[in-house]
Parts: sequence; structure tokens; C-alpha cells
Amino acid sequence: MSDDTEFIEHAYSLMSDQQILLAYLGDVTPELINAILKGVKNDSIAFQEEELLTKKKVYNIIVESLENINRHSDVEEKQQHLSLFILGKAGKHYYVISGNYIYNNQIDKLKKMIDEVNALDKDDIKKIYRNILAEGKLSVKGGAGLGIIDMAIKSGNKLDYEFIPTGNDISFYILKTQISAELAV
Amino acid sequence: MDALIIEQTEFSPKVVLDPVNNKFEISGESRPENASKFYEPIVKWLEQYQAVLFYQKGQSGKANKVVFDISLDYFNSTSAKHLLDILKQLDNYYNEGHEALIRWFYYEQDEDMRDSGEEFSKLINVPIEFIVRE
Repeated sequence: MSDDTEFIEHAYSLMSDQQILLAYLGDVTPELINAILKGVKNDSIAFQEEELLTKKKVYNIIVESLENINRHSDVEEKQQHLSLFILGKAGKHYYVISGNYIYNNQIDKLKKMIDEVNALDKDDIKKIYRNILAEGKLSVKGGAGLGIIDMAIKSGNKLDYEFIPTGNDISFYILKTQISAELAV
Repeated sequence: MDALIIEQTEFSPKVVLDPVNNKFEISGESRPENASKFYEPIVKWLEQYQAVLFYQKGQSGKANKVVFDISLDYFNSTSAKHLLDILKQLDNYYNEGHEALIRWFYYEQDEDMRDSGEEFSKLINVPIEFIVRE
């Protein structure tokens, strides 16, 4: 048990230090997405007394993150390529982290898209959102582009990303989005 | 033309397209697992309804006014494209000279939902009326 105790103490302090509300490592299935969203919606996972707008923003980012993972988890051998999802609150900010394995040939496209969105102000991002909608081209795999843009608009923050090489033609793609809880009037 | 009624689920919206009672509505949350499959019959129905409006106008000089209520709590980015398809159908009515109006309901605090409606309004001619929900 002493091994376990150490592990539990470690996990406990890690999760409380990072103010992690939910952490998941595994296959992101539609059923899992529904289960997480149910918990968020009925306030059992994240919120106690947050403003409606904050709740909605966080909910929005969670959906797009999870759907993004689900959409992009096309790397085979799922047992060795688990996806990561973290929801946390640091001070006044909620943060959502997604991590999933992608093939390296996706990296340039994703980097370019996120960099482009990060370089624009909110009005210009909205313009791009409208253009993509109007042209009806849902870019990479049924909507990925729109999802990223939506996350940038709703969060009001820059999107943070990283690609960690894993040695072969696969990398671990991490996307972090922050949502300020004070935005609500 | 028969009404198209789709019951609400936790993650997919309620849809009412009811020409007899002249009631057109989409409400709830839109995050259906297969958005294309969910929205296809709705867009198709609205497409066909344009012929009904055309016929009405031919018969009596004026078709019924279409007031379409959108009262969504949330929609994901995949649904956005399909919502625009619906709005474009209504836009077709309007551009053909029929009376049409979209009523976009949102909670006062939820400025993102209002913004979304405003973004849509920039892509269509049919007027959108913004209404604060209780």
C-alpha cells in the first residue's frame, strides 16, 4: 500500500497544484464526449457559480477540443496512441488542453492555420469564419478549420500549440486554449 | 405539405416545420453526431416548401409569411454550416418576393450567441430580428 500511498499523494498534489477539474487519457469516443458534456452541463464537473457567458464559452471550447481529437485520431494502433484531455482552472482562467497523435504530414497545415488565426484580431477572425461558412468549404476533415477559428473567437485568447515528435512519422499534437472567467458582465 | 417534426434530444435540437399552423422553429442544442444526416431532410423540406409558397402566391396573390424562430442554447462549429444552409433557404423565399423573417432568440448575457446571429445576418438578405429570451 505504501507505493500506492505515494502515488496517490503525488496524483493528488499534481491535480490540485494544476487545479485540474478533469483529466482523461484514452480513446475519445462520441460516448465519452457525451458523458463529459453531461457532467459539465449539470455543473458536476466544473462550475459552481460562474456567469452564463463563461459557462457557455467553456462548454463551447470543450466541445470543439473533444471533437477535434475525435476527428483527428486517425493514427492506427490506438492502444499505444492515447489521446489526452484536460480541463482546469488556474486563477480566473479556465483552460482546456487536448493532446492527440497525428501524422507529421498534418503539421504544416495545422501550424499555418493556428498561426494565421493567432495573428489576427477578433474582427478579422470573424471575417475568416464568415468566409469559410459562406464558401462552404469545411477544409480539413469536415470542419476542423472552422472549429479552431471558433475556439479563437469564443476564447478571446491566442491558441497555444505544440507538436512533440515521437521518433517516427507521428507527433503528439497539443492544443491549449484559455478562457477568461471574468469576461461576463 | 406534411409537417416535419423532430423531437429534441440532449444533444440535438427540436425542429418544427409545420405549414398548417404556420410554425417554423429550431430550438435546443445542436451537436448531432452526424450533422449532415440530421440537417439534410430539414434543408430538403424547406426547399420543397418554396414550391408551396409559389403556388399560394399564384392562387391568392400572396403567400403565407414565414417566421422562422431560432432559439438555440448552443451549436457546434459543424452545425454552423448547416444552419447557414437553412438560412439560405429562407433567403431564397425572401429573394423571390415572399415575406420572411428570422427571429433569433438569445439570453441577454450570451453575447456570443447574439454575435453568431449577427455573423449569419451578414451572409443573407432576409431580415433577422434579435429577441432576448426570458
